[in-house]
Amino acid sequence: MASILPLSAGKSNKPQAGGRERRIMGNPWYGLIPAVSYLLFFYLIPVVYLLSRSFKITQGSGIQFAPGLTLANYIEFFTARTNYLAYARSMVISILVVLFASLIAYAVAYTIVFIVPKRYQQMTLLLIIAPFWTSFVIRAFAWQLLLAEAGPVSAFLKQVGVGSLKILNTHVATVIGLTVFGVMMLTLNLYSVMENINPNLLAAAADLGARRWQTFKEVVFPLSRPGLLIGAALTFIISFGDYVVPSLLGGGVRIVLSQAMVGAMTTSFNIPRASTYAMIMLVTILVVTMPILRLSRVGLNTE
Amino acid sequence: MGSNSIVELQDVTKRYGESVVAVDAINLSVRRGEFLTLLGPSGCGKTTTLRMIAGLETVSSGKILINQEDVTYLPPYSRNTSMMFQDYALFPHMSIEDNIAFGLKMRRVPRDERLKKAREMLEFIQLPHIAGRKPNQLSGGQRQRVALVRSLILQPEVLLLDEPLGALDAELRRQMQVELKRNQQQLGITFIYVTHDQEEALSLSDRIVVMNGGRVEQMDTPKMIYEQPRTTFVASFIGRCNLRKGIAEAKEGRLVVFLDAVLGKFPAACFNGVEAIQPGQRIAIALRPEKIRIGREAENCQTKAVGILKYTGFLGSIVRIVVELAPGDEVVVESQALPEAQVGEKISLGWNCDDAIVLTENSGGDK
Repeated sequence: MASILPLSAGKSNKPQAGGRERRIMGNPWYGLIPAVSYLLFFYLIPVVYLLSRSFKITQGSGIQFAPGLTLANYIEFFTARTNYLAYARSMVISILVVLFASLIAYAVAYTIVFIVPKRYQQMTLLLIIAPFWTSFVIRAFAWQLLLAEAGPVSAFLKQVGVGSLKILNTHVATVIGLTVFGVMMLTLNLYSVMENINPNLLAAAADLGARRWQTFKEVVFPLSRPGLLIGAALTFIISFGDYVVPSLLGGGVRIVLSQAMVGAMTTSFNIPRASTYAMIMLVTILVVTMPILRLSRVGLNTE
Repeated sequence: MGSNSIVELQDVTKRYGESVVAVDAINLSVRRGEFLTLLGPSGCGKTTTLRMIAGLETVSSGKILINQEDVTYLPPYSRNTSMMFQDYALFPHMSIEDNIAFGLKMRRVPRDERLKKAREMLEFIQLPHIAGRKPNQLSGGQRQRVALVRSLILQPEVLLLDEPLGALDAELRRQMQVELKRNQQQLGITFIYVTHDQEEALSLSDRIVVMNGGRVEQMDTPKMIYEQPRTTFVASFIGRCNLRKGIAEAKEGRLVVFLDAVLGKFPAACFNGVEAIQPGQRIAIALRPEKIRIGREAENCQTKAVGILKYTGFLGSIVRIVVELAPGDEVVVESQALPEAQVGEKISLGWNCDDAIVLTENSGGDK
């Protein structure tokens, strides 16, 4: 830190910005110290500590561990049916959410950028992300009311003759709740990439003989793909790890991975078991999202 | 408007909303194979006109004909025109050969065939080695060439160019001007070229359409536009010029007796399109700086005047002189030789009646 301080003292012989920049550039690593130490102490060390507990077994009060490392928690996870069922539910729910949210958000973002007149664009976008302003939990409760057996959604379905369906406390409700969130996340990402598409590119495509659909296929879609992939990755991460929506909308019977993890902590205070779930969740998210993010970069380095 | 006109605009108007008229009932007839330039300041409607011809902008009223066929409501892909954009609009996610072959791909030409065509195009612009690159790996000049051949691959009859050299630096610009003109002559394609650079327009065009405020001010060859401007706008937009306002006292044939508040009466010439001047009407005349003679040379001129030399600037090939006729009333003169008079001394000026060009202020100019 000491080497950074003289820069702000302002008594340097070179008062121009150029001089300051060059001195920082001379020691590029010093500038990273605050960020790196923050991440190290408040993120990396706790996470590594917690995850390392997955190779331990509790002893006594629960925060003491037996000596030595073991794979017992992992063996337990992969042999117990309830565990891998929870894992499968999380996976299926997340994939469905990403799929539905991508389709809906793509249509929404495309409409905002290419169909809604310019002067209404900002407002439309604002309306679509307005739910972000309230708490995630509040929104989940609101969906509880909407999806309840006596709620408006059921009433509507009865009216149109679908009959009474149980939605609340099934994972249909979980998928709906998470999709709503995913749509917002993806719309924001897609809006920003689509907004950046030079309108002359669409004009050039049309001029060179592309019909509307071809322009979409050849120009708009490839150029918006990075936004779609990043948005999908973020939506997957949130859906796979979320605890609130599956609990409030999906009911507590057919549990998902995050519920199993919380259960391990709250009902049995088994830190190693919870850590095992966390470790599996982390690895899954990395395995799924890393290729997606890498794929999205293919389009990123072209202006 | 015989059969040699390839593009024709009849009272074409473009309105945005209720009040904004970007293009105001313009009429144009573009001849087959010519290099026609739409020249004007930004916001004069030249780009809008070009985009309407391409079909990228809807027409509010009027008609556009290409090859005598009404295309006013045809989409861009049904017109045999091609557009080259100011920012080139190369597809950033495609390789250069895919960019060039795009038009053929849309026509469902098989991949091998269209890539072969694209490579031929790259040979034509002498850049065969960049086929696999992405647009952001090219220099400005290379992008410009690629954009040109991408537009040409479908063999359009009319190429529309929207300030295609605007993004290049001065040196490259001059080089590209020569290249564009050569390509146009080689290929025999009609070019409709939009620019705000008068020098570019003068050097490249067969004919120039000077636009201002959504209207056509004058349409003529570069020489005529320069030597016989019709309006004050054209006279002052193209080249340097001394504008003098006054009254047309009398008219005999194409000569007008011009009454100038400072210089008194002298004859001035009316060219095409301004014959309708009536005696007593307020008019303006243009005097090109290089048409005004100084010192001894002025003695043989039809009109003479005397002023005080205020400034002499040596610019290499010419000398620019500022002469004060009356306080606050100055005339700029461009001469081949340095004046004999010193700054502050009297100097005589002279010009012939054909060099004092009568102008009208018809169109919706802001002058």
